Amino acid sequence: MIEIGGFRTGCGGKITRRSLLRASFATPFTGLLQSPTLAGENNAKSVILLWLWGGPSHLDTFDPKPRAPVEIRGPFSPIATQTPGLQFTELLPLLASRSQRFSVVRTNTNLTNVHRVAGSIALTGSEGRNGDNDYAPNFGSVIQRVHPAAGELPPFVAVTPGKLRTAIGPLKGYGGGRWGNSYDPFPVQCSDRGEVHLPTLKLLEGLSLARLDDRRRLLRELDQLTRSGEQSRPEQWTAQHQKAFRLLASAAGRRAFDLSAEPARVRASYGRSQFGQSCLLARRLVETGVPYIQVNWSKWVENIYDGRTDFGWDTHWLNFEHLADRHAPILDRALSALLDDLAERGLLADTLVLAMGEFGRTPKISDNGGRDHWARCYSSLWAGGGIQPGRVVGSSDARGYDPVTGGIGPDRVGATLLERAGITSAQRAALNVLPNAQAIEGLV
Amino acid sequence: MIAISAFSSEPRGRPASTMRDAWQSSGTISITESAAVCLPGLGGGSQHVCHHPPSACYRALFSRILCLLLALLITVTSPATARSDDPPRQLTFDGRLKRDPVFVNQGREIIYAVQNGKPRLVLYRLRLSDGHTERLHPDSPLPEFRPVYSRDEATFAYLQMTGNDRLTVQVRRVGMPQPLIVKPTAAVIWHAALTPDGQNLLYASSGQLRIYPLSGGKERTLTQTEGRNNWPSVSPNGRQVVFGSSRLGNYDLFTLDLTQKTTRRLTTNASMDVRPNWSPDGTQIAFVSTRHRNYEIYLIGRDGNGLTRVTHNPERDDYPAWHPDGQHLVSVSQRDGQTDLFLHSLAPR
Repeated sequence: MIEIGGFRTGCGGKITRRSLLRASFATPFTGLLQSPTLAGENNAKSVILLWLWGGPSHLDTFDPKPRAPVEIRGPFSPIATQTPGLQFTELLPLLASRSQRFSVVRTNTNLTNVHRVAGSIALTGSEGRNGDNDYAPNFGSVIQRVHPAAGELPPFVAVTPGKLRTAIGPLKGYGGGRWGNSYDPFPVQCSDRGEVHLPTLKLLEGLSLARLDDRRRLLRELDQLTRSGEQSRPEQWTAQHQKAFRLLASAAGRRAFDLSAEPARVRASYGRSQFGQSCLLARRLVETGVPYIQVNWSKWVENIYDGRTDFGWDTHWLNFEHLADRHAPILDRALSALLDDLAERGLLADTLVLAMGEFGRTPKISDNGGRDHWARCYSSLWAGGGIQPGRVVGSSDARGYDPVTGGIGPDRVGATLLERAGITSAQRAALNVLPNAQAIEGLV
Repeated sequence: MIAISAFSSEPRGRPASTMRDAWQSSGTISITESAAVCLPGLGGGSQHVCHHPPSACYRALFSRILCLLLALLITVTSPATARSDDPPRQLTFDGRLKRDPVFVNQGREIIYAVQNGKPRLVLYRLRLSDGHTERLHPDSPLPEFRPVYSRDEATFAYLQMTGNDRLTVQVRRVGMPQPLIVKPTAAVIWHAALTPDGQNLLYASSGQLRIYPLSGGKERTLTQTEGRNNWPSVSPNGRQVVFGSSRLGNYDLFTLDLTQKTTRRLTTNASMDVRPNWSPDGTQIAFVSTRHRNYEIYLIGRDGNGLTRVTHNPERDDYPAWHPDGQHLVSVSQRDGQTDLFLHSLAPR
């Protein structure tokens, strides 16, 4: 089921005539944009970034420290993975059993412990030039600029429960940054039941989606609407609306967002969680040729404190309870299913999957029974798209405080990601995007 | 065989609801002719249509009564253990993430928390006779979870989030119009429990167990160890607490004698043993463990012997809670990616 604006529709459902006509002002009927060609062999045709907003504890997930003192190691036991010498905590048994599909970087570093700033840096690879107001473009925006269209779908899709934010304010580095909002991601919401919601268009019910394909009829209705004085102002329509309309006008696009087309077995394998179904949607978008999909774990960085926050990874309090009760089982299942699904469909080799947050969490457990922000060392998971699987890149010290091999900053994460997506260092230099950053050694 | 009549027999002439149809069509627990026992609180008895001559029917009836008495004798003299041949009965069908089920109203209802509503954690009541669900506090705007009850259900407590991971315990008593709000001084609380007499509240705060007399008085710390101490569950006689603790490395189960202040380790395992829950007769403890690399439900005797695995499901089984009859457990379990309440039948050993 697809939900457009505030209303749900199936692929043969209803969209308002008025809204459609409004959209048509801004979107030519002369054809859909051509599919991009992502350059080079061994490059990823698509990238899926699983954004674990809030900062997962590296010690309680991918980098356990069982020999550390009790105030550091936490209560979870390590378990073996399929990769020799690599252990995860017992919270991630499914990922541990398929570690041959991915590699782990254990020496990520960020520049700050502040969520909004660290998040922006992690998603763009660089610091803002003028504080919060001048951020570099998101990796997805860079890919969108170099590969401006992916067939009939927007090239940069954010599957997200909402615009990323903290209690302080919104995250700045989520989109085009200094390039402008035309490079922002196209937002899509996906519920735990797999209902897809396109918040860009606030449409009313009344017009069949099937009629979107009847362009002569649309033009006729457009003329009638213009003559009747009901015409809306085209300038109100942003690039986002154009993307949304192109999507709606495309049968393939509509199909991509219809999770009900998936076999029940596949939908179940991801888990009926919002994150799980969002990962499934990401796989469908990969199949449709979308080059960059960012799946956000939560809208809010905070875990939960009222009806708004939605279980982010910011576990200052009750870190172990939240991880064991909710976060880890959902992540373990959804990410495992995504990797399996991509591999079984032959898509993993062409799809880079990266799971990370903006930083890790303090090795020392706080008096509140949680872990606080820790940017000096944390972990990320990389798979597909030319990444050599079954590797562990870098190592942290015995207590997880710092890398003992070289730290890997967000610029190198960005350089690796963009390189895998076929964007060369020369192209980056021309765009002034991470011009001097080197890709992570040992991953490819 | 123990039968749950409400799940398998529909009273004649009464239209079945969709939910009830779903329960019947998906169920596998059935009434047998030899020994049909109604699970208290789960609905009315079965209905039979007899086609035998009267004498044969009397003989059959006498035989059934004998079998029933024998079954009851075995039941009351033996602790429950895991039944291997009965698949669990699905009780909810919405598939949403759930937690913290507890039987109330003599086993006729289950209160539980759903994780994906607005607010994010919402308490629901499930009526077992027909599968009807409703919000427990329809007007509450704040997340609520972990409901616990005293034995007579005159006292009821639950956790309510009132700030960034700030929780209070809301205690309600029959006849008390306003809830008693307990705000612990020590950081964040989690996993509240009530003593069976409803006089004391236990909870985990900053990794330690504490006890708070609801009649007033000073909060006391029950544990003072390294690691985390969580999930207190008080024995039916009120003398012992079972809980999970990582004091020796990872989570294992321990009991604490409230009178003698002695602690005993129940499990020794390299994986998590968590969420212990004392059986109504006090002989066993249901808990969750990842010892088979997945969240599964187990039973163990109060003396640490008699470990029995209850669930064998490749997906998650969690949050076990006892039915008052001591022969059934409800769990939050995943099947095909959906998370629902399931009822597990336990057979006499």
